[in-house]
Amino acid sequence: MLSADQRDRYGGTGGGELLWGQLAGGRPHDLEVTSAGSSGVTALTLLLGHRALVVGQADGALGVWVRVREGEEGERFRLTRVRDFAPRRAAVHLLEPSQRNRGFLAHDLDGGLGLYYNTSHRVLWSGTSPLPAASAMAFAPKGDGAVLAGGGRLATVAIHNPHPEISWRALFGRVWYEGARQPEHVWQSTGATDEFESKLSLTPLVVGTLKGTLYSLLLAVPLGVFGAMYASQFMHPRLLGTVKPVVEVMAALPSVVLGFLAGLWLAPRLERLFPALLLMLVVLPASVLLAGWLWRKLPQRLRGRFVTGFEALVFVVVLAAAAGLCLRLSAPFEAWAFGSDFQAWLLAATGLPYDQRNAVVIGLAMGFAVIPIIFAIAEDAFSNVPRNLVAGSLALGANRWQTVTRVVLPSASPGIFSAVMIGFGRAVGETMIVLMATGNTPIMDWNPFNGFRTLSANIAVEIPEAPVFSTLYRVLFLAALLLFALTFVINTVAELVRQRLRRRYAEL
Amino acid sequence: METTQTLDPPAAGAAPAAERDPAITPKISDPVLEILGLSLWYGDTQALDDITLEVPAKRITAFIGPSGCGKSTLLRCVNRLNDLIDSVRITGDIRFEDGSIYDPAIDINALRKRIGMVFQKSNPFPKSIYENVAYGLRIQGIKKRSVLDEAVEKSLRSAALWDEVKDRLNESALGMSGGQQQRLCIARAIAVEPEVILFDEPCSALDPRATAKIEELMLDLKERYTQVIVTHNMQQASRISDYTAFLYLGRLIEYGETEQLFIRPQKKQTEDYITGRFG
Amino acid sequence: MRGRTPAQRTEALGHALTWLCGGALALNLLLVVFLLGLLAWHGLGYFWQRPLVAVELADGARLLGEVHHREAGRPADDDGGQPVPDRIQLKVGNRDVTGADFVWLEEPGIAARSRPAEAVLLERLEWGHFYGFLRELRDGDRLLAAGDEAVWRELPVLHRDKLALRERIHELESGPIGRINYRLEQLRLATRRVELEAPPPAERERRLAEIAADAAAAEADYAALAEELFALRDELMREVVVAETAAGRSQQIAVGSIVRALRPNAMGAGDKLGLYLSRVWEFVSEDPRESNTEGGIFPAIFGTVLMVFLMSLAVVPLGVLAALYLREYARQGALVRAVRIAVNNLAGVPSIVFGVFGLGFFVYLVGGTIDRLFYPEALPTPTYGTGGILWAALTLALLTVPVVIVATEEGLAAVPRVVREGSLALGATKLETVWRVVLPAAAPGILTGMILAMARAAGEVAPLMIVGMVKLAPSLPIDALPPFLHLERKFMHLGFHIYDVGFQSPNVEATKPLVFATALLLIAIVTVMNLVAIALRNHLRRKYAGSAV
Repeated sequence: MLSADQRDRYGGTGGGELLWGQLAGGRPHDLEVTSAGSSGVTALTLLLGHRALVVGQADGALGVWVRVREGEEGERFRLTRVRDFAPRRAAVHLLEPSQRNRGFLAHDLDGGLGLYYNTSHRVLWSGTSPLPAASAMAFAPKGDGAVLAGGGRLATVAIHNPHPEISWRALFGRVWYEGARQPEHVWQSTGATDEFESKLSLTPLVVGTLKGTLYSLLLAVPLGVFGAMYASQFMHPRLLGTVKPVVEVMAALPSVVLGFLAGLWLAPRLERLFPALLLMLVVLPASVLLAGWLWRKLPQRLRGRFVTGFEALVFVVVLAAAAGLCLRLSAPFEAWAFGSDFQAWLLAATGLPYDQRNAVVIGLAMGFAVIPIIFAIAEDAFSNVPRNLVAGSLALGANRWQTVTRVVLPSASPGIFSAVMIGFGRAVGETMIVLMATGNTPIMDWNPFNGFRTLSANIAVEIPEAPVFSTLYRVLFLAALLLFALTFVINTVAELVRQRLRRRYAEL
Repeated sequence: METTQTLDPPAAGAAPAAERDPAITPKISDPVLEILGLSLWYGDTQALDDITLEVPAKRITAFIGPSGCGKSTLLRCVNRLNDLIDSVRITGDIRFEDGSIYDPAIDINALRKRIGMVFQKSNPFPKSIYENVAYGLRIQGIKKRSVLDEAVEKSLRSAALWDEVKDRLNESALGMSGGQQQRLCIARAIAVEPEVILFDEPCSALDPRATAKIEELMLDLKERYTQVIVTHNMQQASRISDYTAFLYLGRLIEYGETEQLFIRPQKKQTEDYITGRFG
Repeated sequence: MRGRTPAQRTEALGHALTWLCGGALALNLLLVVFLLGLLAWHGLGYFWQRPLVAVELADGARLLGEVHHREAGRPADDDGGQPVPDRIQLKVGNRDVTGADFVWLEEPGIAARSRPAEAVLLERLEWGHFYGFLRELRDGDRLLAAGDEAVWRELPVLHRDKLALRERIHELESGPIGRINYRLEQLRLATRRVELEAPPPAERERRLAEIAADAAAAEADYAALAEELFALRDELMREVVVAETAAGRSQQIAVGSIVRALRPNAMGAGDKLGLYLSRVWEFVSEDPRESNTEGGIFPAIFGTVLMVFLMSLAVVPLGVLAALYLREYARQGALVRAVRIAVNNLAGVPSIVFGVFGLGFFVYLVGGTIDRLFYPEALPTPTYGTGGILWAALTLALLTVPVVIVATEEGLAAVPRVVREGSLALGATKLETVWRVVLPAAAPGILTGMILAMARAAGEVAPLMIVGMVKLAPSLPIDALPPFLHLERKFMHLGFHIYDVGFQSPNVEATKPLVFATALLLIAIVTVMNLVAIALRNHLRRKYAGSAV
């Protein structure tokens, strides 16, 4: 049996051996022999695309074999059994591939007929043949029927199988695709040719979604929660009256604008100035502490001009100056810490490449989008803590900070939990920022310097091109349903927690 | 209310359980409202227990008692405002001019037009002074400007408010003082020409001068309307009312002419209350 | 920490941690301010004309353009890192000659720079900016003016005529020719309708003949108009400016294709300010050119506004009725609580999910059905069975309805109970009370919800990518052809414009300033709407704060 490009030939023996060899330049190479077990090979066929070989055996065994490259860049291939279907009751004597997809029909000598699908590893149908004595079989070109012939009779079979390539395993599990070296999770919905084997694993997208969410929460949770704590517990109420609208405006900023800034403004700058970001992680908190300390050391008569609770305004200026300083020091710091080039250092030290549009950019941009949501709900939770609790604690001689950590924080913790949950829900579903500021490559790893693709961005990218009611279209709907279910559960939990908290306070 | 063990069941149709004890329920010659064996529960809590009393026409009747005694609840039964609360259950009856107000066939909105109400806290609508007074007429479908103008002026005059507001009828009612707002609410109630006006502690949020004005107004309105006032202020009750009912813990303890009740209370609880020993 | 008691130490620690919390808040504020400032700086800078700089490089090459960007280099370091020189980015335009709008120049390679007063900037309809020097003004072979100053004197007069001509061509295209095209399309559909209805042959022949006669008449009208149009176009393109690039290449530019001719280096501050305002006006009022990378964004503004307007028509009644029911009519029990949670949840559902729902439900199900029932003659080209402004508006209405419900409920809850009872005590029915007293009192709440919903809709892009936006809509959803409001049409949207121009256009570097300007406009709209809503809400809260019952 020859493959369509005339380069591979396959054969089987009654002794259960599979033969395979390449025909390059018209000259036959040596045949390679692989054992498929003791039972004789009774039928062979190549599936659409001519890269997967279906092997039927005398004991009814039904397996799929694919050439697999040996080693990372190896030239040598080996025929490998990648998938086994449940054996049929008798020897498989007829195999017929679909001309549409990676399905095939198998007919056994016991008069049984089965319809199988390779990629999704599904037995679509199995039963008795309308023509038990069939000696030949053919698929209709559209894949909606088949003809069986044998003993001077013909029989037709109507086939209705709308989405054979989907199974739980195909969507979420590891699948050994044609040409791959091992089973893996891959999303690649369309290829150059019609014979392309669609790889519709949602797992890399789910991982991408969680990765983006994780990095953005790393920024948003501390800034949102601690900012809210300060705002509700320490800040002057008059200042709070202006800060809250600012945060609300922050929440209303269209994500398309954030995505644009992240992708076209932040990402190229971060690529050059990444060391500055590392520097800021240390310098910004330090500058705040220093400023706070100096503030305390200021003579009382100077400090007295400002009402307490307005320190945050001073910190804004301090932070701006510190951030500017970090940007200035980026190059010297880079030279000192990483030997002139951060990206080269990164690649050498950890083996991680640096993509321009990566998870750190997303973390910053999406974090920015999530902060106001967490802030608003956390602030609500903090300021709903009954005043008499605070007063009670202060009356026992606890200072402000002790009161906050020992009384306010525990009381408000369910509210903070729900704030984080709702922020999580927002980050999970955010589309435009990830669409614009990641490379949208469906890779599966947790490297912060890589791009990724999320469920939401995937929908936005692919649904305009997906043919209506096709498998891809439905898988994208499934992805939307998954997002919906995820956020729905998260939000419901958060809301229930919040309501319970509110009821508890109402009793106090 | 069902009791498991009824030894002496009252005959059906007979006068409700509180046999007319002349000491606590005087005979009223021409009652407008008759409250008959009224009990009320909020969920499982009983707020009124078997109240029976008659409200005389063109007089001021006062309900007094310590807070939580059910006097406001009783008042709100009369125009069926308690219906708005889901968990309320009522037994007994209130008769208004020979018909039961709990008759399922009755038009509750028409009833409320005939029984006006003024609330504890003045509640002008966020509209102009004029529109506040005309509101009741407008919902009756009266659109004609001249009729409305006349009614508004008449009502405001009756409420002794006309001279104070006639130049700013189109300004928001929310800009008036508390006392004025309350008198506006009275004018608003008068405008629909009710037969009975219920006052639910109308002066509790007002200063003494504004209170005096309202009281004066109520005395003026006595010739035309039957008035019922709930108050926790015994001086007020004694100043303006003709009849007074004293309620305690959801029960009617004593009811009689105001003078009688304040000077010679029949019950010890009444005496304790009016002499300020509790409450 | 010498001599401190443990209590003092905890207090010091407390202070430090408090400052850190304050720092977190301050950082949030700083980020917002920085972001708005960044947008304002770049967005407003887009309209400002920079001077033209003529640069001579060490190798003798000459360039003319605007300096867009400077980048600091890096000195050599001890570990053998190569020094990186300072660089400038020059916008040199002349895309038709050089192929790229921008070049990076290393500072050390620049031999000389000057600001020649006679350097011109020609903004063109096609190929972007031209930077160079004027040489001649020609009409075919006839020389109209020669030399820098002469051409500069003659050009404005001629240019004014050409602008008027362009206006006439535009009117002709959008007026009479547009109407004929519309008529022809209607006739084509009429033919299809006859075929679908399949009347008896005689009837069929008669009707087809009628249509054919109409079509012939329309075609004849069209031919006449087309001739006029071609004549006008020839006229428009007749005179050309011969100009020379800095490198000395001669280039012919039709006067009719020039949008603006400027000598930036000879302009005073007043002229520049005038130019600035005129560009801002062009930006908000003109159609885009060169696949959105130049010109204005009027269709995007218009599309956004219309879509938001349609959305509020749908969302306000829906949200207000739902809130009224929940707050005024429904029994407050477990069911209503569940509904409230669901409504809150709906607000947290990702917007893309709404887009997918809109696609499946509105576009394919409802739209497909409408097409089959009412527009069978146009099939297989979908009329409503494809993304359009109506579906986009309805999808966003679903997305924003929780906002309206929550805000309206807050407004309703703020109306004191005594006010309702006052109305009921006067004999008003529940409906009358709600309609005449409660709703007017809750109006600021409803308005707040509406504004917040509109702001959200104006900024939302993801669902719209799926249900109805296009890069470049050929026509606005409202025009002079019946039925005037075309709900099925696709439309342009500010947010999508940002995504599309910023990420899908071939020349991202050249369009970035325009995207900044669009982003600034969008942010300004959304921010102002939000601030108004916040102010309204606070007003409402204050008004009823004292009268809670």
